[in-house]
This record gives sequence, C-alpha cells and structure tokens, in this order.
Amino acid sequence: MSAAHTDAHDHHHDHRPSGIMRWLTTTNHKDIGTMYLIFSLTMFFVGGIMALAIRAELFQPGLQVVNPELFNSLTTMHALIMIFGAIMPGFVGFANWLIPMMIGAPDMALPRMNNWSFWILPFAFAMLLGSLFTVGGGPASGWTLYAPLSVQGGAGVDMTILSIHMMGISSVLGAINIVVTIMNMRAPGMDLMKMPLFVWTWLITAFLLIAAMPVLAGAVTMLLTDRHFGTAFFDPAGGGDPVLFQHIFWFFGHPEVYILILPAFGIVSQIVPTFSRKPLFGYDSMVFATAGIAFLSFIVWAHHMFTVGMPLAGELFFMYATMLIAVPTGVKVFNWVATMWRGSITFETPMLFALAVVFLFTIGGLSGLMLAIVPADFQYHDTYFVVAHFHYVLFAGSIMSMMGAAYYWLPKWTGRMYSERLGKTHFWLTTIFFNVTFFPQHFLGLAGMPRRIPDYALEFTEFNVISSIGAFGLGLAQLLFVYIIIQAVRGKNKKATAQVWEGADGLEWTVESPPPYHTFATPPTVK
Amino acid sequence: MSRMRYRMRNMRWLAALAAVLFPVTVFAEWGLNLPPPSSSVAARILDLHNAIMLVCLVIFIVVFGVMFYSLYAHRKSRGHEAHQFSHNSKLEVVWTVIPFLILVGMAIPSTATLLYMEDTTESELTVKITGYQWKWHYEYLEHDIGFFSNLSTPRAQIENREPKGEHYLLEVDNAVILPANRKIRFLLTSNDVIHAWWIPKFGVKKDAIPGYINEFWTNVDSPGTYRGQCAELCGKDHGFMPIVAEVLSPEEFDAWVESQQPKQVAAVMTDAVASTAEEPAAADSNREWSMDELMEHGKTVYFQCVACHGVEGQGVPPTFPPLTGSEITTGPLDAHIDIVMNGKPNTTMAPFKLQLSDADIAAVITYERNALGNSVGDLVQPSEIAARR
Amino acid sequence: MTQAAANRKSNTRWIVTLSAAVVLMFGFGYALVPLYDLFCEVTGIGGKPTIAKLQSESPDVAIDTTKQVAIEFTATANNNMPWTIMPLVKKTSVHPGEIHVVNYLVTNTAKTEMVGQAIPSIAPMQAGRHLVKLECFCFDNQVLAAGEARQMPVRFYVDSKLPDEIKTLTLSYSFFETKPSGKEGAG
Repeated sequence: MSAAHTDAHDHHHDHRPSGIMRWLTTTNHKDIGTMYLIFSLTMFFVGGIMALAIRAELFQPGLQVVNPELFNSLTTMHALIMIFGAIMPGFVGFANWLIPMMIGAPDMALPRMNNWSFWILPFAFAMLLGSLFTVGGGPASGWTLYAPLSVQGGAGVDMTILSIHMMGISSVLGAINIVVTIMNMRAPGMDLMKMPLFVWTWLITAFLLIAAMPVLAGAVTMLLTDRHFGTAFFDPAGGGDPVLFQHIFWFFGHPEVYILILPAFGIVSQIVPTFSRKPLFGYDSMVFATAGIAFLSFIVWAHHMFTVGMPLAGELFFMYATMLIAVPTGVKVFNWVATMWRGSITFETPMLFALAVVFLFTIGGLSGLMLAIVPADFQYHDTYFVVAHFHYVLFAGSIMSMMGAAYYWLPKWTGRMYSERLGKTHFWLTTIFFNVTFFPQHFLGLAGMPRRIPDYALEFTEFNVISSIGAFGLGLAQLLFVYIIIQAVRGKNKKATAQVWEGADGLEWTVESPPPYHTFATPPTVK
Repeated sequence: MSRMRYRMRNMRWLAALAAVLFPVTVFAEWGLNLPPPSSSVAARILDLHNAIMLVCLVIFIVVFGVMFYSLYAHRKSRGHEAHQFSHNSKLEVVWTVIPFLILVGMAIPSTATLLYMEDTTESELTVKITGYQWKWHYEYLEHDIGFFSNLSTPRAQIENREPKGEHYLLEVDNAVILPANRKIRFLLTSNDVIHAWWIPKFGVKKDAIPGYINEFWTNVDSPGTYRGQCAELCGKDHGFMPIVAEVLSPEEFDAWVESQQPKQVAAVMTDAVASTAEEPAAADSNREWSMDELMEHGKTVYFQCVACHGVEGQGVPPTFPPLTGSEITTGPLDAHIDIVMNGKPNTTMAPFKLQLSDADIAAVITYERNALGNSVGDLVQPSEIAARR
Repeated sequence: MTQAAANRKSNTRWIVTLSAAVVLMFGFGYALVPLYDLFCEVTGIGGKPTIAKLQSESPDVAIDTTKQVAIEFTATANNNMPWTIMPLVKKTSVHPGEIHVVNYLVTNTAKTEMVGQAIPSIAPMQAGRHLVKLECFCFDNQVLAAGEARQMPVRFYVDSKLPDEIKTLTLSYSFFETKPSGKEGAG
C-alpha cells in the first residue's frame, strides 16, 4: 500500500541527490517550503535595507544620503520586494510545508511544477535588482507604476515589467498547485469544513491569485507595448486614458491586498486556539467571513482613486462597498477574542505575535475604515497617514503573523525548541520599534506630509526623527530573529515532542518532530 | 533660545504621549490632528474626521478591553480552566448586525459632506491650475492673468550648505493670489504626468491628469498665506513643487487683479506668461549687456535648470542630458538658442520663451556656454532673443 | 494504483480549468479597456479624453429660453508642445438647444510642421453627455506649418437634458503631438 502510494507521487525522491543538486531538483514540499522561506527572509532583509536607506534620508530635512532619483527607486523597489519577494513567497513557503501535513497528503499535487514556481523567483528578483544598475536607474514611479510617469523611465522599467511577469507566473503556478492539492489530496474524512483555517484561507487566497495576477500581467503588458510598440492604451493622444491604468492596476491591486493578509488570518486562527487551549470560536463564520472579504475585494478597487475625480455615484458606491468590508473583518476579530474568552491562556512567543497581530492589525483596519470615507480620504490620500495604515496592515498583519508562525512551527520542522527567552526579546523589540516607527507617521500624514518625498518641511522634523530611530531599531531587532532560527536549526536546543504545544491540535502535530522526509505516505484517517 | 526650542521638542514628545492616551482633546493644539481648517470644506472634513476617529476609538477600547480582560483573567498561570465552547449563534448575529448599523451611522454624514464638496455651482472666480514637472501654472480665466509658480528655496539649503529658512520647501516665487470669502472654483489639468494639488487647510486635494479637466472648489475664510505640496508622485522633483496661496481680502484682491491687467495685455498672445518675466523686459531687451552682467544674471536664471541638468551641469543621463561639454552648449549658438526658446517636444524640456524674458534667456545661454565646465567664449544679447520671438 | 490514476485524472481536470481561468483573467484585463470606454459612454463621463465623435446632425429639441447655462473655454498644450491655443471667447451664455460656434486661435510657434490632436474634456463630468459637438477640430488631426496660426471652430449645443443644478460648465482642450516621435532624453 505504502509502496504503491510513494510510487505514484514521488518515486524519484528515494534516491535524492545531495548538495546543491538536491535543492535545484527537489520536488519535496518540505524542501521547497524551506527554500521559499529562506528566499522570503533574504528578500525581507534586502527590502529592509532599502527601507533603512529611505529612513536615513528622512532622518533630517535636506538631502544627505541619496538623491531624489535614487530615493524614488528605493521606495518603488522596497514595495515590490516586500510584497512580491518577502510576503507572498513567505506565505507560499508556509503553505508548502504545512498544507500537505495539515490535510494528510504525502506531498503537493504537482511537485515538479512546485519546483519551477520556486526557481523562477531568484531570476525574477535578480532582474528586478539588476535594474538598479542600468543607465537611468531602477523603476522610480512607485510600485503602482502609474502611467504616464512609468512611460518616462529608462530600461530599468522594462526590466521591472519583465520581472513582474515572472513573479506573476511563479505565484499563479503556486496557486494552481495549492488549489489542486487541497481539492484532490485530502486524507479520507478530511471534509472541506474540517480543514484547518490556515488551509481554508490559503484556498481562498489561491483563487484570488488566479483571478488577480493575470490582470496585473495584462496591465504591465499594456504599459510595455505603450512604451515600445506604439500602442496607446494610456496615451490620450492616441485615444487612450491614463486613468484606465489605475482602474486595471487596482482591479488587481485590491485583491492583492487580501492575498497578503488572508493567510495571516489563517495563521492567527491556528495559533490563538492552541495557546487558549480551546477550539476556534465560530469556525463556520470564519470561513464565510474570509470568502466574504475575498468577494468584496473585487468591487472596491476605486477607493484607491477617490482624488482622480469620479462621478458622485461612483464615489458613493466605492465608499459604501469598502465600508462593508469592516463587517466580515470585525467578525474575525470578535471570533479571535471569543476564542480566548474563558480559555486557559499562556503567552509563548507565537501567542505574543498572534496577539500583536490582532491588536495592531485592528489599528490598521480602523485607519482603513477612515480612509474609506471619501471626504476624509481627500485629506489622507497620498500622505504618511496612508503609509502608516498599510504598514500596520502589512508589517504588523502579514510579516508579524509569519514571525509568529515561524516560532510556532519551527520546533515541528527542526525537532528543536527555539530559545523562548530570545524569542520573547525579539517579540518585544519588534513590537515596540514597529510602533515607534509607524505610529508617528499617522500624525505626519494628518499634519500634511505627502508620501514618497525625499525631503520635507521643518515642521515635520520631530516625528521623522522618531520614526527613523524606530526603523533602525526594528531593522536591528531582526538580526536576533535570524540568530534564533539558526540556533534552532543547528539543533543545540531542547528536543521538541511531536505535539510540541500542549494545546496544539491538527494532523501536523501527529507526526514526529522533525517530520520524516515523506509524511503521510499512508493517508491518515480523520474522524 | 536653543534651550527654549529644546524644551518645545520635549513638550511635543509629551503631547504625542498624551495624544495616545487622550486623543481628540489635545489633537488640534499640537499638530497631531488635521490642521485647523480655513475653509468650510476643511471644517466639515475635520468634524467628520473627529467623529469617525471617536467611533473607532470607542470600538477599539471596547474590543480590546474585552481581550485584555480575558488575557488577564483567563490565564493558565492563574489556574483558569478552558471552557470548550465554540459557537454562539445569537452572539454572532449581534456582532454582525451592530457593526453594520455603526457603518450606516458613519455613511450618512459622510455622504452629506461629499455632496456638499461636489457642488461647484455659483462660484465667483475660476482659477485654472496646470501641473508641470515640477512647477505649477495658474491662470485666472475671467481676468487674463497667468503665471508659473516655482520652488524658491535655494539649492544651498536643500544641500545643507546654508541654514534652512522658516518655510523651507514650502515657499515659491509667485504665490497664487486668491480672495477670502468668495467661492473659488478650480479647474485642474496637467502638462505631462499626474500631479495632485493640495492645501490641507483648504480641505481640497485633486489629481491633475493630462487630457482631463478636473474641478473642485473652496471658500477661504480669512486672509493669510496657506501652504501645501504636490501629493501625487510625479518624478524626480515631486518633493520640490510646493503650493503657496496668498489669500487677500476681497477688496485687496480686486485691486491686485486691476494692477495685473495692463501688463498682461502687452504680453504675447499666450496662455502661459510668467509675470516676473514681464516687468523689466522691454528695457532689458534693448540695451547692450556686458559678459559679466550676463554671467551673473545667468547664474540666477540657471536655478530653474538645476532640477534636471544639475548644479554642475552634470545632468541625469539618460533622461536629462548633461550640459557640460554637450553638443548643444558647446556647438553652434543658433541651435542652443533654439532649444532653450522652443524646447524639445515630448520631453520635459519646455519652450522657455513662454516662461522667461529675453534677458533671462540670453543670460542663461551665455552662462551655460561659459560656466558648468564650458568655455566657448561667445555671448548672446537679449536683443537677439527679442528678434527671434 | 487505480486510486493514484483517478487522482491524476482529476488533477488534470483542475489544472485545465484553472489555467483557463488564468487565460480568461488575462483577457479580462484587456477587456477592461473597451468595457471602460462603454462605461464612460453609457454614464456620460465626458471627462474621459477619448476623441469625441459626431453625435447627431441637429438639436433634438426646440430652444429652451427659460434656461441659461454659462460655458467657459480653455485649452492646454501638452508635454511642452510649442503651440499656443487661445479661445477667442472665454465665456459665453447659452440656452439649451441653441447652436453656437466658438473659435480657438491655434499657433504653432515651432520651426517645423507639427501634427496635433485635441482631446476634449468637460467639467463637471456629468455634463459631458449633454454638450453635443456638431463640428470640432478635435474630430481630426490638425497639421500646422512652422509659425502658422489658424482659427479652429467648434460648433456645439447643450441638450435639454442637462441637469438643472449645472449652471456653469467648462469645455477644455488639451493638444497632444501625435506624430509618434522617439522617447529619447530631453535636449
């Protein structure tokens, strides 16, 4: 039985090559998951160094560190790298490691495609980073690449467009793989409504990816043909329209925002019940809320464009639709709080991160609600208020959920506990410096500081100083994170049990820590 | 003095802390909230903002009050046993319906404010704003007045060679002049890429989009100087195209309009004439200038070229070519004059004959040929430029 | 084995379906272009600077002398195009249904012949659908020789369905150079 199963899915794994060839040719979901996670962490530091260059420039008024062109390239690249290089591959890494183990499958459904979708990424990002060294520099029109500004740039913009195509292909292949795995590879008895919430959020995220990424590919292809092949999609002289680019871009862009956050919701929904020693409250409503958010994400895109000048009816529609997102998002937060209610709570590092995600993401969610109010948005739009908002959502939401997830599953993967003392230190440093960095940016935005400027008026100095100090603290604290991971991987720490956490529940906790190279060759039976 | 400033800075810290603890009350005083409004639009937005802020804070405190109570009371270390419940349909319906009702409550005043902002009828003055990389052009449609508005902060301050002035980066050569207490309708478009015009105290922000004409209005309640910035990333000098509005009493404004009239009639038939360029123009064009004079004046005018071509003439290749040793600045004079006067279509090189006086153009060309590492030795007289108009 | 074979078959079905969805969504990105045009046409967002087309030969209704609308005219030369464009009438007042002609004086100040395309835009945008152009220089490319100045007419009327609350509207033209020229650096 087990031989037949292995034969069907991964027969060439049994004599896996060693050294570099193992990683180049691997089709094992655990190896690929590891590579995704290492890639994501690397990009997190590359993007982070760019963020520090930006904060160094903004430490004082005047131009000191970089010139305005490089500054614009840095903000553009920082966004592209963090979104497409750190957060998305990070979540795909967790999906690779965990989805097969959570649903009792021996591997991903399409292992070879899995290998390709990973190995596209290093080339895509080498090309993106390479654009910095072209004459004329990297892309400098913001990650939103608004026409006609993006039509002006040099060869760096073309390289960026091609690298976005590659990233898109990678994530679409990954998404197809995840959908097929979840639909076809579940162990007997693992009904859809019994799946762990992390699997559910990823299933919905995968559908969002499949629907949204091709639209982005279309938008940047139009940009490319406008730049070089005489089309006029966004050029008024030829009957085009620059605003059309924004519509197409944000039709991708808003679902993208939920691609970046839904898996984080999944992670929190795994961690909070474990450390509350209670089942997740309102499982069904969590699933429906996730699906609801995903659906709404396709009809709210123009809330990024209120200042463009839309007809009144359009502004009202997009305002109401956007406000509506607060309902399912609220349901999620309430469910997490209800999960903790009357539990038996302990505060290990993963739980601390999950709590910080709930708390800080809600701040970002509420400022998002404020941004939805059109008249108020006229004041907030394109200011540091927006910068603060999306860092509360993306750093405190997505990145910190991944840090929590790393601590939560690291003992399972490595078979060793991480240092709880260092983990907690990392948590507090990250949380405190994150708030020191980004909370003052709310005030900067309200006071009138536009985003994406390399220099600013004197009245904005104090908060920028605080923000820059916080950023360097936040950056340095992450070196500790790397140290903790290396320590756990090198196996010097205490051995982890199969269950790892007292309150942990789910198939991945039934296999030993670390898990064997092939898990669930015999499908488990789920009651 | 410096100790005073130091103390002020400390107090800001305190204020920031206080704002976290007691938000709405301290906000307006310390630049922690939207700036005090100077128009009815901005006032309504501020009220709306404060109201939503308050609702959000209450929700936040209630939800996290419950969470932190639970974290405190239901700890394992306190010996709390977990209760294994996971559903409560009644509760779930309640916390779906209540947020929905709160949202409806927020949507009503938001819609009302939006309707108010969109009503541009019965305005008394129309000002057309055109965004350029990287300056603004203002045109008073009823009065045949038009001028450019450039950043006037010296390069030396930006590059930290001089102490920064009070209105660092928020000062311009020609402010847009507006009347107080009149409904002003703005038309907004762009010459090249998308910009956004924004003065926070007016409560207006709109994108300037090439090919589009956007409109918005405001009604400033008292005279004074109001400052803002371009809000949409528009390239290299996005951070260096401020907006300054000089608001006069209605009477003063009418007098200003009156004073601008004869000058403008004499101007060339164009919708883009810089007002500074006009005053000494005629006299300057007729007399003979010395090399030193041209070089000295040229150095000041060259300030307008620095953004693209660099302080030292090094440019930003390949988008903005260097002037040092270039074919234009060291080649035939004719071609040099032509490109400065007529610009280069489809690039940011503007036809400067529409913006600069004869003397300005002559001086800057002379300067470019004999400074920035060039030493061609020839010079251009303003009269030669006048002859080519 | 049969279990595995069944799995493989069902995998193929999912892959085909999902890949089709990807291709479809890529196409949908492109379909947004005509959909957007259609949307603008139906809702009458005249703000969209597509090249206006002749809509009808003559006013559909009699002149409505009870209503008056002020119309402002303005123009912009785009991308530093060396053309000056000046409406010879800055502001006028019309009754719905009444046909008016306004001339723009367009001058090519360059040393070479240039081709320009005017893109109309109307504020407020809801009014776009109600300003009907019978003849307009924006219907075609305009070729001006070096230094040439020409009067260019626009013949239009405001239709009777213009919402009552709109009392002033602005007709703006942006001139773009159409001859596709190189995108190399500034001179």
